[in-house]
Amino acid sequence: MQMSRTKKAGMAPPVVDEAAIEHLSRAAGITIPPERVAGAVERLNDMLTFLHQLDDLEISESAPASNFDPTWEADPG
Amino acid sequence: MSIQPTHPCDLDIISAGSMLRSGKLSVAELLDSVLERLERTEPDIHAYVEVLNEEAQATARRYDQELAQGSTRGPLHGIPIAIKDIYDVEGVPTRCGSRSRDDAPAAGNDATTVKLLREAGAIIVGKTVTQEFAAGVVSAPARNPWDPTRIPGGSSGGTAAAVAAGSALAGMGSDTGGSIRIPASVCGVVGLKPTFGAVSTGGIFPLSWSLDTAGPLTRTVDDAELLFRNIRGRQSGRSSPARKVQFRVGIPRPHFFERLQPGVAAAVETAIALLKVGGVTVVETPWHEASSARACSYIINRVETAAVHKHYLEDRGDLYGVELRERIESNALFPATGYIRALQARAVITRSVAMLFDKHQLDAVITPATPGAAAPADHPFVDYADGTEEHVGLAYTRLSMPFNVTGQPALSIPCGFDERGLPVGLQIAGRPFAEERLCAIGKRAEELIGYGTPLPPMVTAMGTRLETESED
Repeated sequence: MQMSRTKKAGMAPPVVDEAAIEHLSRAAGITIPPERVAGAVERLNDMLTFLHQLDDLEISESAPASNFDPTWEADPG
Repeated sequence: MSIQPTHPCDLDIISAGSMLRSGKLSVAELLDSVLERLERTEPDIHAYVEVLNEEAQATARRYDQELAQGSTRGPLHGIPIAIKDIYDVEGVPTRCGSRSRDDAPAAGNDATTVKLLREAGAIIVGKTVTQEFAAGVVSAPARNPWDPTRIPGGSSGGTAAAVAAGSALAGMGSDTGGSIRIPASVCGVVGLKPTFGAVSTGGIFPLSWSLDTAGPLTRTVDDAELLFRNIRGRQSGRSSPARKVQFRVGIPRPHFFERLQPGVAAAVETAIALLKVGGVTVVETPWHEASSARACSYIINRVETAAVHKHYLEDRGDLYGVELRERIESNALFPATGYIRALQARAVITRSVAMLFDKHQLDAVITPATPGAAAPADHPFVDYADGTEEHVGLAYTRLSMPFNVTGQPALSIPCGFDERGLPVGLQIAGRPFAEERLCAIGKRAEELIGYGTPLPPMVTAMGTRLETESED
């Protein structure tokens, strides 16, 4: 299974390959037939690229937004 | 520059309602006009999956009797409206544009918003085409009334096409990553994505629980506000009235102004200039987290979609379209820690946009609604001046998704045309639960830009009948 990770902004995003998809899908109990594995590789790598873009933010101290929080009030008029 | 409506079905809701109440137009005449337009345009537009012809006509007759007796059900009395086929409409299957739901039973109840629209007097014309389970922006087989070789955008593409073509005076869509604003933009109509949570999503098939919103597509901002007022929930009672007449808007470069088609960039910059000339205070307000907002929204959207569908996919995966099936399968493998990281980012991004609005005392930010106009149906890519192209699924959502993750309300209004005569949309995003203020800015922009909601060539080619119809 090839799945490399980087944490620093500006470095290459993580990459999964077909072997990684096969391992992950087996662990998740999802059957992805051979003809759809290549598509899954592309889509999951797109997602990981987007995840990598979040490295530009300082989020380590932030709690997850589990609910919509409209704390910035509607305008004061 | 705007072309005056020539058929009752081309009227906006406010005008049609006024004519109905004054007796210049009957509900049956208005509905007949809509159904006639539907019959003429559907062979090219394919906006509807089901037309509730008999039910609508029976309702129209009843509503005419009520008007004759001096009573109205509400501000939408007799107004024909289209409903995206992910909303439950009592007695009609909710098929969600998916073969996996071809045998779905008839819905036992109306979605909350449909119920509220009926209570306000709206007549449901039928259910409109959606991208499969609202997950995409092509909306096949629906086509764009401005050029039927092109897509109407999506996922509320059928509703947008119907409103643009005159086969409904307005309609309902849903917006998880731009699915109201995108089709509104490329079909030349108005789309309002309300604040997350301001409008009930009860009875609407989910795509992404923490991002889904329900809202209207209309011909004018006035109409969008009218529909919003009739569908918003009690929890959104914090909405503040639009008391100010001076508006201050921000231009959040660079993210929203990068990689645009030249015709889109030109129309939007012209619109911004017209706002300045018209007295709107326009300030440059870089929002550096916008690109991350898009990434964050994309991750939350896709992972929640996989969670929504995992169970259904196990039972009926063979009946899903290949594109959606692949998306669900691959995104089900996305690491849980990545999803949590996106939720952490969401909190940071929401704070960043709040600070932006507060720092610059903004009423709204203004951007292009989509980076390109309607793409060809046989090659759904946005092409750019540098010779590159981008699939519409990535291109169109690049400018809309940031406001799904922040939850704030956003409008798309027509602001001009590109060199091919295709509509261009202007996006205006306001403060949470300040839809009235947002609509006030939208109305001011409509006035200053001066396009109104123009009619597509296929509609203007159908000639003038409004003055004679009531004499028949």
